[in-house]
Amino acid sequence: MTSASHRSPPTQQQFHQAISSGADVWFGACFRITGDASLAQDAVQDALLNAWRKRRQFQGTARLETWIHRIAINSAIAVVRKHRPERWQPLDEEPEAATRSPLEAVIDEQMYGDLGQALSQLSDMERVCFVMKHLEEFRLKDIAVALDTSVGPVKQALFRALGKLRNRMTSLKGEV
Amino acid sequence: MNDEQLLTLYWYGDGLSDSERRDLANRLEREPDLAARFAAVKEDLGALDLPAAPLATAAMVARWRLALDQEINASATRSTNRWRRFMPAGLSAAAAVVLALGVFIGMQLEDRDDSLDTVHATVSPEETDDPAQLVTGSEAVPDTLERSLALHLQNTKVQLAGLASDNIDDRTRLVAQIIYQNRLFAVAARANGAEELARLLRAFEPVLLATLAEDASTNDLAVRRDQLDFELGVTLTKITGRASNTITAL
Repeated sequence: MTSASHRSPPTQQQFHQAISSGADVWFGACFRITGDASLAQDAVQDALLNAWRKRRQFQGTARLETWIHRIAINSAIAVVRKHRPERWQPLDEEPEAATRSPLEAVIDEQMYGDLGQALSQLSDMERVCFVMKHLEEFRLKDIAVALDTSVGPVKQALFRALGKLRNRMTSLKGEV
Repeated sequence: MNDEQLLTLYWYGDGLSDSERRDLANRLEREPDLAARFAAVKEDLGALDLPAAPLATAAMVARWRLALDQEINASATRSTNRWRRFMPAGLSAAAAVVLALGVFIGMQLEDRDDSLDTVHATVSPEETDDPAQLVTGSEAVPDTLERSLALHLQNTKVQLAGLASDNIDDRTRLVAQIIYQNRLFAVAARANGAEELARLLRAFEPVLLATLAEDASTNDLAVRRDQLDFELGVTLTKITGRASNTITAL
């Protein structure tokens, strides 16, 4: 009687259970993409509301937390594009590193330590491409679709990010 | 693209064409220097793990839960308002359709009594207050009425989300609407001699009315809603199951 196409949509209670088990992972992924705790919170909230509105599209082939995680990644990208359009530069250009106010830099260092420092070296594009490929294990073509571009510029941004991070992480290790 | 980039994409297993991947694999076998560089890239990228990301704080989680609940309540209210806007015309039309359907089906059954043998899976009716226990399959309820009722029960299940509303007025309107529609179907069922089905529909009323208790806590409401959801689900399963067990012999 129950097939994927006739599966009941997830309930409010199941969403709350998903929050209990997935909140840390969603927030971590959104933080890595946005590079900002406040934007990451907004992204997770947008993702939850979008997921609820689209709950009838949930096929049940993956866990609810995993489905919401994918939506959260896209929400994080949308939040960055909306809130920092000036830093969303064409991928084929060498972008400047993200600029932060002194207060943001202090907060990042206090709260997020090495991660905040390392990610702050990347432009928004480089950070998004690196996180989606290296940590979230998206296919390059899927990243390109999410960023509304082609695979070539995604590769270039990824190579730039890797170069900066490998140097940065090596130097961080040296500081310890 | 330089060798470093090719080796990086090779490590990711993504972004190279089949021929590029084959060529690189052949070169790695033939060229020790390239193989050594690939080993270094593998080690470097494999070790490139960023420090752990920050965890969501309790305040963040509370904010997300609240936003979700508010969205759910708001969408239920929007749905209720939509119904209310069309209620006079919509309910009059529904009443007319259900009653006409009942009369029509009753006449059809009367005409066909001698020519059709309708055999149902038989289950003994039980005296119970549990609505879900009242559908027993021993009545010859017309298929058309069963299908309409199944649709109504499915819609009711969706509307149950509105019972989470903190606003007693919204809950009252929703419960009144569901009870009114139940009664219309009960009239149609009784017109077809399906007393048991009519009793089932009326049996939902006390459970629905219990959600309007002024001292009901959020937890009480959730329990009532889950109870209704469960019983509606069981009833639906039994109705649809009974329809599929019906054998009509010509």
